[in-house]
Amino acid sequence: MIYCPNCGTANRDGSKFCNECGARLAAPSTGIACPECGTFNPVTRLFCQKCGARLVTVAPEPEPEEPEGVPVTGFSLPSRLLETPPEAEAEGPAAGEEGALIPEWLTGLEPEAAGEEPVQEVPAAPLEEEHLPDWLRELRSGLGAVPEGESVEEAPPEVPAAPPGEGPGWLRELRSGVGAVPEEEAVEEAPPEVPAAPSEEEGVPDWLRKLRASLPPLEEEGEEVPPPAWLTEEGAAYPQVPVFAEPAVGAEGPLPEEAPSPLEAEAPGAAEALPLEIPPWLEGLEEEAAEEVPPPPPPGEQVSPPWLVGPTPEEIRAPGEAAEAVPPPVEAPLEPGRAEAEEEEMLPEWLRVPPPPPAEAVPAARVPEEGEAVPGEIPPWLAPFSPLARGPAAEGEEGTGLLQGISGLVPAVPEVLEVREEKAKGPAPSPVGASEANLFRQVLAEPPPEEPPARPKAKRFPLWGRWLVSLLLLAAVGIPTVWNGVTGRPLLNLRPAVPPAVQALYAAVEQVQPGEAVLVGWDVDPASAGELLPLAEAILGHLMQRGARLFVVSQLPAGPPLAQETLDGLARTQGVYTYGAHYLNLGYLPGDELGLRALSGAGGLAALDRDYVQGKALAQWEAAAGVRGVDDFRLIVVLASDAQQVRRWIEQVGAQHGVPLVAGVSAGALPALQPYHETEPRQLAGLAGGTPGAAAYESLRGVYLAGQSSMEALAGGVLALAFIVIVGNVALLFGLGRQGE
Amino acid sequence: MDVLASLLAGSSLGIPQALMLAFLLLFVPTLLFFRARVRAGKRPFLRPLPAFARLRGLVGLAAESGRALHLSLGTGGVHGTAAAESLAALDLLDAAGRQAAAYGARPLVTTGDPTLLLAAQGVLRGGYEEQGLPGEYDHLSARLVAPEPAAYAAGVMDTVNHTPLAAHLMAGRFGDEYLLMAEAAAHQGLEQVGGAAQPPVLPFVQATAHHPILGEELFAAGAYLRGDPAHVGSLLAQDWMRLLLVVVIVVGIVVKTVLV
Amino acid sequence: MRRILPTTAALAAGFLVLLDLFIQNPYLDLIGWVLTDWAAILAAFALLAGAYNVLASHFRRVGRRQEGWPYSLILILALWVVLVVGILDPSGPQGDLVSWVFRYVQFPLQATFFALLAFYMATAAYRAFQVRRPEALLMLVAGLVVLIGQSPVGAWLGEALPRAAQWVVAVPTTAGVRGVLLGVALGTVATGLRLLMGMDRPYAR
Repeated sequence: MIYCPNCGTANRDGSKFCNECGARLAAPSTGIACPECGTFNPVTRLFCQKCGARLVTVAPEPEPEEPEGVPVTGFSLPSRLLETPPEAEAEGPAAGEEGALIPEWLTGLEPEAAGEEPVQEVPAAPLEEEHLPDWLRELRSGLGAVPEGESVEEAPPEVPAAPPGEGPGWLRELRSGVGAVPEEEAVEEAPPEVPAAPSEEEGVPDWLRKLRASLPPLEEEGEEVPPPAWLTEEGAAYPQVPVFAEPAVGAEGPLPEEAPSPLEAEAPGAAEALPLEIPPWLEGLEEEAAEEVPPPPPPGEQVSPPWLVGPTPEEIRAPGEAAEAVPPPVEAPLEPGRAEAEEEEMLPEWLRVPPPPPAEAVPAARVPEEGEAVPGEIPPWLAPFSPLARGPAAEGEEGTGLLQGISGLVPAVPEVLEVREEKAKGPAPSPVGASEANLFRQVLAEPPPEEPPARPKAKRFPLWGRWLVSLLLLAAVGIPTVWNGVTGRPLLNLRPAVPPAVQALYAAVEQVQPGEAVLVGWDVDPASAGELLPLAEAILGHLMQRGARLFVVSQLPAGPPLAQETLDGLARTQGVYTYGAHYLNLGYLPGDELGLRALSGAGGLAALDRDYVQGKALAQWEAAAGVRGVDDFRLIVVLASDAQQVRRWIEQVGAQHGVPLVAGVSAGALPALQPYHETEPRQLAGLAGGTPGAAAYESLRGVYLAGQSSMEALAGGVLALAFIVIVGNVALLFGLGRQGE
Repeated sequence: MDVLASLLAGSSLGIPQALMLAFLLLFVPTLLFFRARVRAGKRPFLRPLPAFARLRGLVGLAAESGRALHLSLGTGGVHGTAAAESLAALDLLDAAGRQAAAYGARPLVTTGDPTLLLAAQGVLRGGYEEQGLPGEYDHLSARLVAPEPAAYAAGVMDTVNHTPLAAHLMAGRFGDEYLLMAEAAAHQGLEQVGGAAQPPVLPFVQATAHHPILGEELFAAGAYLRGDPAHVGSLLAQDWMRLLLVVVIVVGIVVKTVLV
Repeated sequence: MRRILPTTAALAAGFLVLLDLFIQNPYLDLIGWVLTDWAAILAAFALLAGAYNVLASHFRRVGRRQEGWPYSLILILALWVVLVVGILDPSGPQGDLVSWVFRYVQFPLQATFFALLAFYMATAAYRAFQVRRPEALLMLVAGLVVLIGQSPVGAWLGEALPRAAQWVVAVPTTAGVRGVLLGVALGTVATGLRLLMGMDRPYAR
């Protein structure tokens, strides 16, 4: 069904206009257009109602394209200028921002390490001066203005992460003696926990002081200092390597020795072509990097990049032992011939290679027994993280774990560890999805509709209880019946009460003169015959006794044969009554009220022009002489099991004509029909109900028929029922009533 | 009344017809007025009827348990005086059938009249088509048991006793056979929703149904279950006409007792 | 057109019959009687559809050997026997064989079946008359008064009980029944008006 958006009327599927208000229904937003025939179908349908084509495709939807132009944040990138202000970044990076502003040195690095094609670079967005961190601003002011128009290709080389509070290490190096940073370069968002840079002399670590001493002094403010080649466009030729993120908390000391990047293999040409203006501590790293470049991995094999590969156990030095060499974490051209000792001296402690663990810490190899599990081999890149005993750790130096060999670390205090819960960053919802999500949220928030508690489900009535009730009823009804049948007389001789309505009925029948026509409405079906037949026999027998001509009509299909059988039986007891001369069966009258209206109308008995038994026209029967319509009848007797049927006769026939109308009904219909007898004008001249009515009528006639003989059985049944009701309440009183419910 | 009779003397209208005509002339505009108000968005407060509220739960119970939901629509047809009760039963079947089609429950409908059978089949089929599941409709899910009340009750009792059912709903025109079917369902421990409009049957409904629908509540099925503006508007019109009848009765009593 | 034609036919037939109720006109009477005849014919054809439905459901039961399938087989055989005999008998449904089936099979079965009502009523009365609420006590007392007062036992006990039973039936019971009947009548009128005005089309579902 399609519900009209204007008036809410339900219309059949496929309707284009509302049947009530005429509003258009087939709006595109209210249905799904069939891809085959174009018919609009309700959104709940899976198949087209016209051609049967599938409306909802099963193919997976293509993944939405990722938006472009979003910078990568949160990763260890060199500073790049972003287009968005820091306020926008403080709210959290929007979807798609990450990965967009990837500098060339980074995009070029990863694909080359994995043997893939380099990804396309994403242009960076410049940043305003006031949005730069302090250390970068200082750097800029110290180094001079950034040439205009420089692109993201002018990425600075990778430098090891600087201690916190001093900005990235390579920038510190820049400050100490290299060129200015281009304005267009993206600025890496400084972590909020990084404290402000200390004063020049107080916060500068030893290694930096030494570095500065070895480098030419910074130029005065305002004086232009040409940027180093590795900062200019030629730096694009330098292979780029990623720089690891700065340590969050005061990291000092040397980092584990790292294997050189395989990209160094591609760098030699570039290194030779570029003018070298390399910090001393970066010199010498190239040789080691070149020595340690691993062969390219075979196709299909996944090899961890060297920068992820930690030092081998052999390379790991014992604590306190001076580092033999400082492997470069970045690929940068180094001054050849630099002494390793000087390099080592120039490096900060945390960059120096920790000493290898003592030999005794390595457990002796043991031949595994048969069936015994063999311990797996730890891959080289995981070896540094293995909790091997490296001998007594120096004071303040980490002995185990990831930070093994690094000294000067702030001890981890559980209380200060914060677990940052990052919110799930999903794609931005579309307007439709947002509205549907809101609707879903509203539905969930709404309390569920209260369903009424069901009444306790009735347990099955116990079988022994049903047997008990049945036997009790059988005894109460059967004993008087059997006694009456055997002895021919009542057991208790109970005289029935005679209600006034039954007396009025008797009086109305008594006024019928011999030969007068009486119309009998027979609405007794076999189901109610057991209760109504005694009453019917009492009344019809009385009419036959008066010599009346009986015309029987039924509005139940099964009524005519039962009526015929009853009349035939009564006629046999009367002796002189014959079918066709004294009584006629007019058969089935269809149409309920309309049939009765036709009967009481001008057509009269024309609606029933043939009898039920032989199918002959009424005019051919002696009993029908002089009878054309309802007005020709002396009395109308309605025998019905339902008050509705009697009401029909009263409204359609009795109200139209002045013929008296009496009724014999089931005992259950009495309450509904008594007002018709008790109020003026009386629409029912007489009324009798059920077996008590039959017994009362027989007592008025002075005969002892089925009505009176059934009274004792009726009394027994009533008493048994009353007893069962009382027992039920007694059982409830003593807590046994739940057995039946 | 004599005045009215004299007024009608020249016409073919009798007093009962005149009163009926006057009643209809008041009922029709009232119905149209309230239907328009409901369509304009003014939804009235309808007192909760537990039987209709429970219907959805019973359909869900049938879907969960995999058992059929039995609906017995009575012995009346869509013609004659039983038409109104049969149509009200069809409203109940419409709501239950749609939910059953949506939930995947299996309805089992029994009728005692051939015309009601055809209407019930149409209603059920429409519910499945609306859900886009025309193939799920079984034309034998609606059955004619017998056109005779006793045989109808015997057939329904057989269904209740020998078919796994989740719940038992009875609504429409019934006679004394209601008790036979209801007791059979009670013996099986089924939750029952029973609705009848005929006064002789109401005691049986009250005694056996867990959620009875008594008298005119049966005619509110369309308003409660479908929310159709026409049904809701007619419900309001019935309330106002009932109020009018009460006033007329009270005035008549006063006139008859005090003045005459 | 598929919807307009049956709607128009139903509305026209309804209005004509309603007019026939108020206006005494021989032509309207004739139209009303013709429409009533047609309704009876349609009901007969609906009975054919119902017979097909009965046969189909019982054939399915027999074919799938569901529980009680022998009874379904008996029903199918009985239906065919009575139908064929009623058609072939020159007297039609009033013939001897069909009358015999009605008199000695159907009538006793129907009467017996409704006699079972007494036993089911007893088990229902056991539960229904349990006093779980204060108003149920009133119902219990009234029920017992009417039950015993209308039986010969009440007359044997005295005149008070039958008189009380008569009053209970005539006054509070009748008042309640009339209230229900008024509501039902209003509902019936409302349903009929909705159909006549085309607001409700159950036949178009």
